[in-house]
Amino acid sequence: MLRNVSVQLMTRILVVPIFAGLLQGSVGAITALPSTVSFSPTTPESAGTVSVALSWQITGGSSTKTWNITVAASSGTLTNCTTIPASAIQVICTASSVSGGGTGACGGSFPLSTTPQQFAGGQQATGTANYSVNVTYQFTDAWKYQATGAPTCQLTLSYLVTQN
Amino acid sequence: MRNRLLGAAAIALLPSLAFSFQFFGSQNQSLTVQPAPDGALSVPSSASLTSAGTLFQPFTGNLLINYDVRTTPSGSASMTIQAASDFSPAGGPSVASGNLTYTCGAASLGTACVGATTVSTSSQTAVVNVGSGVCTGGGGACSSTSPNTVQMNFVLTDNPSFRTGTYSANLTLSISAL
Repeated sequence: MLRNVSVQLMTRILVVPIFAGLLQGSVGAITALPSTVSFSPTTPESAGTVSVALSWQITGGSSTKTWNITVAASSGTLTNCTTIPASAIQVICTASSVSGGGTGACGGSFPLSTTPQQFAGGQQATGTANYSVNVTYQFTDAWKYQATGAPTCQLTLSYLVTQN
Repeated sequence: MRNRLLGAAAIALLPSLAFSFQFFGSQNQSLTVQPAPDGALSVPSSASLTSAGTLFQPFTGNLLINYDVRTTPSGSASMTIQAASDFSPAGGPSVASGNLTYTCGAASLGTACVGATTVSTSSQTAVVNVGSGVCTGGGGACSSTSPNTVQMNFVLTDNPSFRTGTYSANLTLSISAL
C-alpha cells in the first residue's frame, strides 16, 4: 500500500517539467557563413582575421527567456599542426541582433578553447524571430609555429545556441 | 503495481527528450590556418671598420645579425649579402675589386658560411643557410632562442694606392624562406 502512494507522488512531480518545456520555443538550424573559416597564408608579422556571420531562428520564443551562443574547438591543437594551440585563435564578437523586439549583446573577446565559451546572448523576442551574430576570428601567428605546405592546419568549431 | 511503475518511468524520460531536441541548436564549422614560410632580420644601421693602426694592415669590423625564420617541411631558407653600392668617394677601396671579405661566426639556427667570402656588387653570397621544417623559439623543432643570431666579421684590404679619407659602402642583407 505504501508503494502505491509513492508512485502517484512521483508522477505529479514529473509532469511539471514536461509542460514547462513545451512552453519554450525551438531553435532552428544555425547558418554559419562562410562554411569554412579560412585564413589566408599568415606570417608572424601580421595577424590574420576572418569574419563569420551566424544566423538562426527561434520559434515560439518568449520575452521572459534568454538565449546565448557558445563556441568551442574540437581539440586543443590544430590538426596537422600540433604546435599551434587553439588558443592562438582569438574569438571577437562584433555584432549581435534580434528581430521583433528581442535583444542581443556581444561578450568580450577570448582565446578559443575546447571548453564552450559564450560570446553573445540576450533576451528572446516573442514568437518567431531571427537572431544573428557576427564574430571575427583572429589568428596570432608566431615564429615558433612551423610553416606548412599542404595540408593546412585544421580545427572544427562547434556552435551551440541555448535558451533558458 | 508493476504497470504503474513502468508508467512513471516513461513519463520521466520525456523532459530530457524535449530539452535535447527543442531547446538547443548546434552547428559545426571548419577552420583552416596556413602559416607561411617567412624570414626577418635586423642589423645595426652602420658598422665601422677600423685598423689597428699599423700601416696597410686590413680594416676589420663585426656585424651582429638578429634573425627569425621558419620553413615548410620541404622548404629551406637562406640569408645573403650583396653590396648595393661600392665604396665612395672614388680613389679608395673597392668592393668590385674584391677588397671586402667576410667570415661568419656560429649561427644559432642554420649553417653559417665557412671560410672567407668576397662581397660582390653583382651577386648575393651566402651568410646562413637554413634547412626544412625549422622555426624560431620555443624549442623542439624550433630553435630555443628568439631571435637567432649570427656574427659577420668583415675584413677590408688596405693598400698604399688608396687615398686617405673616410669611405662608405652600402651592403644589403636579405633573408628568404620557402
